[in-house]
Amino acid sequence: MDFSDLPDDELWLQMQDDLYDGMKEEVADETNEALKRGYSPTEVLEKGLVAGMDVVGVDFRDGVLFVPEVLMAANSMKAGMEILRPLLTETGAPRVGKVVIGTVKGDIHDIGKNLVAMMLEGAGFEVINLGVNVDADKFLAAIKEHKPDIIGMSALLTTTMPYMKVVNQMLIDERMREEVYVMVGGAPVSETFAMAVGADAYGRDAATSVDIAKAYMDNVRKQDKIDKAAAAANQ
Amino acid sequence: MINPRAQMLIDALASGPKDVARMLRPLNAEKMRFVPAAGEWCIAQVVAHLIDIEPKFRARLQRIVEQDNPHEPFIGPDENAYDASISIETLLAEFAERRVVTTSYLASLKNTDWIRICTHDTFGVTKLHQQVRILIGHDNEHLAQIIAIREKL
Repeated sequence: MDFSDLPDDELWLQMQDDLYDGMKEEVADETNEALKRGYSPTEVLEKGLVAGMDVVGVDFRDGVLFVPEVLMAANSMKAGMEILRPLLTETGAPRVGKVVIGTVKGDIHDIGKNLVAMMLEGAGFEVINLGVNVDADKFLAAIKEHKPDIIGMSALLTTTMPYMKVVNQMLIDERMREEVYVMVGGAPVSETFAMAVGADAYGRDAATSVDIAKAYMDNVRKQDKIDKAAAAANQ
Repeated sequence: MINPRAQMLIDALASGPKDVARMLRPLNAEKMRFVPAAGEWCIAQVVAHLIDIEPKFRARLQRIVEQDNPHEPFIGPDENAYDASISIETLLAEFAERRVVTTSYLASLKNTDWIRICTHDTFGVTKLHQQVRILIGHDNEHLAQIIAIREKL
């Protein structure tokens, strides 16, 4: 597809629309077109992919879109991200934060978790997706290796969701609990359950999870500024 | 070759004893025998229960494979399964040993065995892979119980 005739503003809108509609080839072409026009990978990510995915997130939360449509949109986002990811790494674009995410042990359900992972990536997070059937040891190894800001745990089964408490306790025992923000989600999970397992937050759906993760990182950055200002004042 | 989903369930079961041992690691023998309230279990009793259940559950899995839609009653806890004179190390080793027998048995099954059925008192008609998930859930339930007892220490 040729998008060279479109003015910049319309290119962004077209890109957002195509992402919303799950047109992955078009999104890839539009990503290339925007880069050809001299926009940085970060600008393309924010003005095209993230802006489009934000609308998808809101419409999913409000019941306008359903899982299959969101998955198609996420696949389109992935097509754009495949072009941008190496460029973002090359240019050292700042990441919003780092997330280690996985479906807990005994559970192989990953549609929702992958959706959250893709939307987090779209929002500028570096996401380490551990996949499914992730036990406490794998979470621990990933946390030690990647030093994430956030860990996300997902479960679709009532039989596997108690395992979130095991991972949380493991973090306490390893004296790592204060270093990470723990988010949980999945169909049978609730706010009450999240609190019972000791999580910091419950992601009701993908869009809400991204909002919570962004809000947490905003708070971290604000606290960093306060700490730095306090340190400077004490010098 | 084992179906990847079946393998995942076997792996999840196999790591059960390791998770139990991990949750017990920070505790001394006295804390493992701490009874939170009259009639409640101490952590050592929870491990003894896991040991007690393992061969009974494995026998259920074997019946599902060998018999045509067997009727499976609820497997309740046996209050006599706990012997306070047995050390925690021995209990953990016993649980791990019994679990290996279960996972080895499951690894020996044909892929078609995983969809054989039983009729369970509580869960109704369930397939073998669903029963394995129930055993994983049983581990998780008691891991959460161990953590709950730890929180009362």
